[in-house]
Amino acid sequence: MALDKHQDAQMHTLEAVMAALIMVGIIVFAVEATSLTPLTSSTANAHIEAQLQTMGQDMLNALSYAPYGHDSALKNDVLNWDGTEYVWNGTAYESRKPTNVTLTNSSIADMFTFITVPRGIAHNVHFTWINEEGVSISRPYIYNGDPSDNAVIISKKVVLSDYETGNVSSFRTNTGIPDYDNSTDFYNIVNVKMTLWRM
Amino acid sequence: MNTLKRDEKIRSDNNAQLLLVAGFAVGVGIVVLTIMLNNVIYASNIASEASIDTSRYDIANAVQITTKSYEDAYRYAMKSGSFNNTSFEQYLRSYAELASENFAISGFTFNFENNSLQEAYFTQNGLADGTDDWTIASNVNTTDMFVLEIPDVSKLGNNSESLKITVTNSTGLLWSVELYNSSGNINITVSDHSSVIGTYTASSHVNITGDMIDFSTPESFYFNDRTDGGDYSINIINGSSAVGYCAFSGELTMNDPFTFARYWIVNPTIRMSSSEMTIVRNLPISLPGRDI
Repeated sequence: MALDKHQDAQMHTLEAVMAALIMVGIIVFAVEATSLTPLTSSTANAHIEAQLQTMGQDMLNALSYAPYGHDSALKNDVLNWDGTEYVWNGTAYESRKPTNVTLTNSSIADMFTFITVPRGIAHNVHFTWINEEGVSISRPYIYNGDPSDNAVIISKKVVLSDYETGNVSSFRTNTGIPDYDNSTDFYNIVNVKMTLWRM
Repeated sequence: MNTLKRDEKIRSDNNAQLLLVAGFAVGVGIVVLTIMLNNVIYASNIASEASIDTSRYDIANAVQITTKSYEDAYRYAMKSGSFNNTSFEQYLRSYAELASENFAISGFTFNFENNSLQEAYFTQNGLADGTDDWTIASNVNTTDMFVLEIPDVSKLGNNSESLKITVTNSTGLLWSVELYNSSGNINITVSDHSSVIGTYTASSHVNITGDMIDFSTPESFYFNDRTDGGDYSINIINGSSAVGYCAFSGELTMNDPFTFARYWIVNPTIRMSSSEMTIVRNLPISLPGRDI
């Protein structure tokens, strides 16, 4: 009789353990399944981020090459900027305000059109600088929406001198980038920040 | 009797259930252990937790913008026609201040020191211990300016340590000039691929494309004559044997202009630190460099 009770107890314990395992398994499965979206961070994202980082660095390196006696394409894009924000409309980069102004003569835009757009890589570009109060200011040059959690930022700094801006006051008025030192030809440092992420 | 048989049957059913459940538990345990072990091995073989180290990229950018700033500072200091050291220092001070703030945002401390101008050797980086034999420009189509100046002839090597500038293409030597110190004067020997074209004497300044010595004495160096046809390289041989100025400009075969001028060298020490590394390096910069 006592032996029977021992065996019953063992069996009930094992049954309880198995039931607990099944319940835990279901909970884990349900949690994993519901939180798995196309943009969920995973170990694979580390590789994708590294790839995007390398791609972005290569793009900015190529753009910042300055041939003899010329400014780099990256610097020319900063100098040609008039403060307008552009967005990719599927065929070209168009301004948000005023509307329907197409971005032309931009090496950054050309590079995106050839490299990131065909690969379905979303991208933003911001120009960042430090103003007279020492505050970092950022304004969008190309803005295609908020990046995902797995976006990478690649940046390259560009030094500007007064003689390169053409007209210092109109450049400042258009872009908001101030002349950091009025007493010399040193103008400012602009940080070109490129954000890339997979759609 | 029947009760005994029923009890035995219940005990036997219980045993079977117990064995079944135990087997099931062992099976599940094996599966769980296998998956866990697999995850441990997999995770330890991927770079999922490694951050992307961008410090090399940031350092390259710092070198790039610092070089450009020195060139622009020199340009600003030469605005009045002669070099103004106060303006030069002032420009660089503003750059250093703002660059430090910018790199701080990226997680780096950045500073540099020693802005003094030094005399330039004809080596690749302009320093005495720089590479002796190097190429200034390749795939040159035409050269509009080719000027050399050795203000202190005592800093030019003698006959056995002469400075040589050659123009070569795929077939070999097209034209060359050799300079050495001959009793306090510059002895100049110009040759083409087969023979010596002429020998000349100058006190400091040699304008090859302008066919002029010491600003006023006309001479013929036959540079354009011998290099007509383009697609050549301009090379310096034994650059550490002379201290002086040089300026070259012209057009490359792809119709892009090329410019190189070196009157001075600065050799600042750049220091960059992040939480992971510190780098200290000297950065020889030619002035005025590529913007003249």
